[in-house]
Amino acid sequence: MAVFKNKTKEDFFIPDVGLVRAGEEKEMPEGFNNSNFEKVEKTQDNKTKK
Amino acid sequence: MANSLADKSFLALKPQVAAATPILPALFAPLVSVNIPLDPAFSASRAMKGISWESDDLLKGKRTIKGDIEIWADPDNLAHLVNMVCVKTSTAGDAASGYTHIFDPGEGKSYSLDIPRSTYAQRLYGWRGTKLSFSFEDNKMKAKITGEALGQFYAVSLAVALTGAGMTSAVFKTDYDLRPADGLVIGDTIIVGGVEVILTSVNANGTTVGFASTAVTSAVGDPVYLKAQTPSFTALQEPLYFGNTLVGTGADSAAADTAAATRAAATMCEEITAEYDTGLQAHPGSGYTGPGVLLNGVRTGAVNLTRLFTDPQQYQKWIENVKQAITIIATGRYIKTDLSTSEKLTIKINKVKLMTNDEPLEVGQYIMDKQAYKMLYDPTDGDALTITIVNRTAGTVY
Repeated sequence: MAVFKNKTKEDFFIPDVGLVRAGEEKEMPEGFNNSNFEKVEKTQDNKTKK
Repeated sequence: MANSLADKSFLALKPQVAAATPILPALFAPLVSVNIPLDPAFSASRAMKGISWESDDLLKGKRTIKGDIEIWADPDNLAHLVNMVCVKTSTAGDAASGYTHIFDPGEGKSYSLDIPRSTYAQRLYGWRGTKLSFSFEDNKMKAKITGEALGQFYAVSLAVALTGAGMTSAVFKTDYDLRPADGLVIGDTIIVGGVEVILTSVNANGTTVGFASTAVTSAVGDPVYLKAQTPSFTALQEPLYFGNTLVGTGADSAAADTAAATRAAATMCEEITAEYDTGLQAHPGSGYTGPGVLLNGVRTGAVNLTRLFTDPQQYQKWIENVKQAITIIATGRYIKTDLSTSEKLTIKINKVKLMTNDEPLEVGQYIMDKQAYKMLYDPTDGDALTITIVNRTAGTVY
């Protein structure tokens, strides 16, 4: 699992994840691969995010 | 190996800036079906080699990659299919009221498409539509685009072994094509030696791709795949419905527009299909195993209507070769909160004439006019076809 940020101005529905709003950061399942999102480097804050 | 249900697939797409330059397709649309096979045009190598068997090998011919995509015609994704066969001449409006996109016959955009199969993806680039068809199935509008691509990347093999830590590039075998990496773009994820790497470069030589320093061990001949993307859908809208579609016919396009504006004035039809064909031609080009360029040809179109027979007026228009015009308006859901604007598809055909107008009699059945119209260029209007779509997608997407 890794945290990704929706880097667009669109809200997206991701299968098996749900709604991810523009700019929102969310933990994504293994193998997540979508260029509308950027991986967020792990920090202590991120690790505690749901 | 795991089996894969097709329902987990989808269509990833994006219009390209240049016909031969792929782009990462980061827009996603639901699919009903897709089949765009590559045909290497293999044929038996025929030469006299001292054997009495037909051949000892296959040789490649002129490669083609063509096929069909079907979607339920929601106004947002339908506009992409229209954009593949028509030129978008304008967009007006905003998110609150909806965007009105006007498409005319002209140069459709070339698209990059990803068609995922399980965790792998077939990347097509330089895809252009030739025939766009509208029909209704159980009340829902279905749109089908037939087209052809300049090339693809799907599965290749490694030409130079990767030997562990610090690998920064991969070189592909050229058995399929001298430029096997064509179709890949920076940002793509490929799977090589069971390891996922994100491309940071695609070499101009067409065989080599670069990535950040990664530990990969893989032998010559090992497969290399493009990894399927995870789809991210914007709010998906319902398809347009037969029940919300009005067909206006008249002596000219203004009369057809007026007739299509209200249910009272519209022509009630039991079946409606329409198609527009750009006559796309695949031209061979030196330096290209597939087509060198895809060009529009002579444009044609057709509309088929089935309606209850009331009098022989349409028969008369057929045998006397009378000009008519047809406007088809399919209205979708309201966009503006005060219900003043709606999703809408308008197909305005300036001139049609009946190729056939059958009135078959079958026992127990009502008499129908089964009409096959041909779309014609109208010298009076200086136009043949205009497709207008009102939806929730900004014009920059098309």
